[in-house]
Amino acid sequence: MKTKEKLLDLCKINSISGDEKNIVNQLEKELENYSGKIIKTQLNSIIFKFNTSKTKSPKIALEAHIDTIGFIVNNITEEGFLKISNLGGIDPKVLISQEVIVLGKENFVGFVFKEENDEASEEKIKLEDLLVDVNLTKEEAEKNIPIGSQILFKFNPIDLKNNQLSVRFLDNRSSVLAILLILEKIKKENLDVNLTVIFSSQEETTQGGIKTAAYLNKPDVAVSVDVSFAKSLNCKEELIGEIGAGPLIGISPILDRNLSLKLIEIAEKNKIPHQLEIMNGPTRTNADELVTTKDGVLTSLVSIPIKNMHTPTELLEIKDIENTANLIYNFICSFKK
Amino acid sequence: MEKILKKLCSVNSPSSSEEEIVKEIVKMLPKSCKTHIDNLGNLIVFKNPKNEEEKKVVVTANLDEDGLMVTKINEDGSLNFQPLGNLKNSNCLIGSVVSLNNKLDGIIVTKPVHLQTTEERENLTKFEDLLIETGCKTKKEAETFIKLGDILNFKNNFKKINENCYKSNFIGDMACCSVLIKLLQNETNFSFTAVFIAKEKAISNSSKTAAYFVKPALAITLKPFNIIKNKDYKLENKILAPIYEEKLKHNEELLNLLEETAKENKISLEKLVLKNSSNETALNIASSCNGVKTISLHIPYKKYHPNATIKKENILNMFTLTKAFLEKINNFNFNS
Repeated sequence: MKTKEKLLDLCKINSISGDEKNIVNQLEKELENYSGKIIKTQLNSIIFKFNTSKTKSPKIALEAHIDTIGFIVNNITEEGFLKISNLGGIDPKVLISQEVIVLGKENFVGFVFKEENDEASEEKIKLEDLLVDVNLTKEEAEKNIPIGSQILFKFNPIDLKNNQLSVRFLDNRSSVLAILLILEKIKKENLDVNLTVIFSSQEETTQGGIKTAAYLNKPDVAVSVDVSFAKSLNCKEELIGEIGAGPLIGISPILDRNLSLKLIEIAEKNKIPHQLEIMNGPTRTNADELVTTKDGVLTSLVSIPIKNMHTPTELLEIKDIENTANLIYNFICSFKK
Repeated sequence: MEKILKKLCSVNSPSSSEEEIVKEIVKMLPKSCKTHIDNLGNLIVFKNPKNEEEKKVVVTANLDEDGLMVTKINEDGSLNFQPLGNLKNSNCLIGSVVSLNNKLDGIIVTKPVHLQTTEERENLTKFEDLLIETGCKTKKEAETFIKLGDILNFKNNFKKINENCYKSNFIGDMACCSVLIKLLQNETNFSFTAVFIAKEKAISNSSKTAAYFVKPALAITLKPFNIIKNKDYKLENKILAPIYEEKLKHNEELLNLLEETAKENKISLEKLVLKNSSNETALNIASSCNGVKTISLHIPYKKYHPNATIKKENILNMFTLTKAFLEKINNFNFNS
């Protein structure tokens, strides 16, 4: 299957932070294609340990989070509109006018709106002022959409020029796909490595998924794979990457500098397009938690550049996923003894 | 009716680019209808035309949708734009898919929430702070598809949400157009003139030329009414007949006749005063030639911009009421 179709299959799956069972089921099926052991953690992360004959190389882990942002119903108004809270960081401005899917007893189509005030102060938009219209009366809504029901952006993929794609949940299904591509290549090349893959839950909310999975299976060396910001309007250019220019190799005090340098060297040696992401503090990804597991893990961060992060129309260039997979595959090979 | 509505919603008609939808409507009309397209793009259709002397009844609906106009092509291939029409809130555009008549798709890009300053996070985004990305990487590449001043439409997305509810961008005006088409298709012997108004969103006075051309004695404007904006949720299942809209008082005698018609047809009609909403079409027609009597029928819908939903039942009621009213006023004495 082509990279794009595979990516869309992953983005189609509804699994918001804290309720990852759908994506877990799908990934379990994918992992059955490889020889190794699948462990599911209490918090719904998946650990996959490759069978290996030699164990001299350091224990390497690849990590990507599998949850996505979303919302949860916290109240129903007299008119039958839903009030919502967020799961993950969302700009409430982005929500206005969105078509969403409400996972009640059945799926409902909803529209987010804000009632207009007569006062001039209406310019400021807060999540608590937003309502979701599901075209139901209060009684119907209460019966069909229990408080706590989940709400997600709709799945609406759009092809753009230069093999760019816009769809929901590229954060972080594109990284999940990069790891699956790496596994495929390992199988094809019959690479004997001491490798563990962690697909972690709850990154967007508690980061509990990686904390517990890494505790359960502490690696020596880890690569966290996530998405990061690509250049668009009004962003400081030196801090972010460019779409289509390859994976972003993270440089940050929390990351292991030698691993970052090694990634750069491997990219240059193999002529893999790449860019640097310079962060003067924590990375705001799972890498930050991975680093401090038990007595510490040497961690690096590789990110796929995307635009419009945390909106229903996230945007990336397909080849950035393939280059990310390629870079990390060669990185793994470099540990072969 | 659903078939007509679906077809209309599948055709792009951003304000001032209505040629395609006009073509589609003409295709749907019976051969007996006489059509005319005026210099501003308004489509005028005569049903059962009688002699010139006869006083004419006009029924109008708006053809166009909000659009976006390309104002700059940037070096990196992205596009700057300004809205065309009533779009006031730029934030509702994020997540929308736009296209140059399906030849080139684009999405609207904003600064990610993680990188916004506190001030940016709290305040509405300006149109200037949004971009359209089409995937083109250079100005040169973008220019092979698009030029300054091109008008982009919102990508259409008609969907039946449930048995009684349709969804599409700008579905309110398209529902009014569907009613008008259905009236033209109806095998009745009353005569009227249908006017499908172009460019209404962008310039608001395009109905003037149509009124001048037809010289009606009486006009009925069919319009959508956004109950979300007005928080009038209790009006959701009614047809609305404004007594007064900003600057314009509608004809009392006709309103009474309308109320009577609604009662006879068991249609829930609400007469109301809309002090903060203007009806430019009715205003323009009312003061055309030597003056025209007007009434307006509003169909409630919910607009989230650009997404909108409308109830099937309301569309059918609007059709039944307008048809019955047209039959009734065939015997109306206009000079009274």
